[in-house]
Amino acid sequence: MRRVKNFLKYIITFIFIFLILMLVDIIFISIVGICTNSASSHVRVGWLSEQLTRSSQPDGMGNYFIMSEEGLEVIDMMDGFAMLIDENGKVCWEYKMPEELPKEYSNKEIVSFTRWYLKDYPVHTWITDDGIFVFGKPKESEWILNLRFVMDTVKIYLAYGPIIFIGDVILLVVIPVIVVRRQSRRRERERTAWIAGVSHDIRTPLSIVLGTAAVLKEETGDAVIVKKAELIEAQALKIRTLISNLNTENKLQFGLGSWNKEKFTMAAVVREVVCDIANSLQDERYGFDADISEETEGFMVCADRELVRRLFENLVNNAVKHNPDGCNVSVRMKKGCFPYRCIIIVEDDGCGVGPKTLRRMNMPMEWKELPEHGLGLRLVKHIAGLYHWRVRFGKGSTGGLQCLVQIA
Amino acid sequence: MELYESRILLVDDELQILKMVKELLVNEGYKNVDAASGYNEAIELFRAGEYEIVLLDVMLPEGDGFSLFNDFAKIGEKKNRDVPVIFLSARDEDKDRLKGLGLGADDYITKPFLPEELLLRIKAVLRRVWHFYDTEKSQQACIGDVVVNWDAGTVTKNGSIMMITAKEWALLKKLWENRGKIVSINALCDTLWPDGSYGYENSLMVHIRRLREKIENNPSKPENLITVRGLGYKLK
Repeated sequence: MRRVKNFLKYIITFIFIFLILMLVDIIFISIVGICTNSASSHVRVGWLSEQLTRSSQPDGMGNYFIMSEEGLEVIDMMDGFAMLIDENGKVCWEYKMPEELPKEYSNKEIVSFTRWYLKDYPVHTWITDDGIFVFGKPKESEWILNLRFVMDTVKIYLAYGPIIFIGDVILLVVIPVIVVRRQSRRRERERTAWIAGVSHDIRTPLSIVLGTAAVLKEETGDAVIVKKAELIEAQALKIRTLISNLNTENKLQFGLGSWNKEKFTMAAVVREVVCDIANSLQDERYGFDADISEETEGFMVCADRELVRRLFENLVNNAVKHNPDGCNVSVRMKKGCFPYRCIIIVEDDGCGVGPKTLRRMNMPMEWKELPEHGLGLRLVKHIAGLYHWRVRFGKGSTGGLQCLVQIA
Repeated sequence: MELYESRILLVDDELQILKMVKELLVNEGYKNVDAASGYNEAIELFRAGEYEIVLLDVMLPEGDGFSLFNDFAKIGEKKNRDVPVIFLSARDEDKDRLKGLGLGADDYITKPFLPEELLLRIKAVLRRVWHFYDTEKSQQACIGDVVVNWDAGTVTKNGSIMMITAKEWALLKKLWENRGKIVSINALCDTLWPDGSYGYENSLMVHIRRLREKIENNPSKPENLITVRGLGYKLK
């Protein structure tokens, strides 16, 4: 479900980016079009033909036509030329007409240049009472494209064109997403395998460290050596927890873990965790107690028992770790407010944390920072996130750290 | 035969692990511990010896521990001797654990393990399979001034002998096995009512109160059976 959600998120993002790019492209094309097809480069031939009027005086060629000053200005501005062809195909008036152009045209030639070029000159034509007015531009200044389609083809284009376009867009969006996701999945799997491999290799030496420390403690009568062996043991256990957290965190982060779904009593898990930590610690500086309300005593959840255990283990261990001079850790469990069915509060009366740290602890997780510190709490948030639970950190009633786990 | 006379076979390719586990077992009191660092050596030892338990690593250079387990089972079948096996592995994936247990292993311990936990698990398997009781636990226990006789199911306090009920016996036994440690309310309820412990917390309190009347000089101010608020009970 999470994967589908992520996939949809990617698709929506890509479509959004695609649309933005399209919009930017359209704006760019429009700006270029407007700038280059400005009034100066686009001539209204009809208007120009109207500027040519009959005159009472003949011109140099003996024709009785005269072009207005504005008309001539426009033709000059465009570096163009103009001519009027009478009903017999003869040029009866012209202005700056290139020498290579003939003075007489057959019907065939006229039909040809009205659609294409006149000896490579792009021309515009207009029918007037006196004949055909032709306005020409310099060679290679315009690209003429005549389009003609059978109506049936146009109908098919109109009917299927948008579908093909949408299909293309989807393919353009989906294929890169799939490729990128596949590559990132492969990288995630490689990373998980690497972490699993490293932690696997650490396990055996760590067993030897733990076992040798235990043997040393047993065999020596020297109190100093016992103390040192205990220190080695404690540190080895920390590494064990770290490896375990690292593995679980990685699997949770990249969705590569397979978690069980079993129904169990939350109170039993909470008590089990606190008892195990208290028993393994055996340190009088630390006190543990629990207050589980009668209505939550039988509260059941459906989740991976080991993961939930790890969540509370990390919270209690965090309280112990950050209060080296000792503290009391209390766990309270009570009925929650909708939509949360139950609230579990893990609180210590230790030194607590500053407001800045507290704010950071409550911020969403990001991978921008390397998680050498606080991996345990990252895991707490991740596990809670997996089951849509809510985790909030705050100041305890006695100034220590308080963690509120709201269970949906 | 006594529990500590059990013959134990350790199989691991890591010599340091073999040495360390052997030392742990010998320090605990086990007298017959053999070690094999390879597949064939393990087969030879198993064929020749009469072991009560085998501790088997899953990853071996000449073949994996699961295959060795099957070979042990075949040899055991010929000898008409079903030897319990505990897998000891650095592979902690669920699928490996399930594979090991699915084959018929009695336990699956992942490295790094707590030495104490390993010893307790070995003891638990030996007791369950061969019905051993170590001498210390099979006879009696002293809780403060009180002497508990497990076989007779009695408690002797200030010279007077009192019978304890089956539930009190189970409760006391559980606490005694974990003496010095907090045993959670849920774990105690599971011991007394294995079919489903939820809702028995109040009944547990009644049994605790009755037990205190028998083992404490002043039940309202218990010195031996301590309450850890909200969590459980601890036998000092």
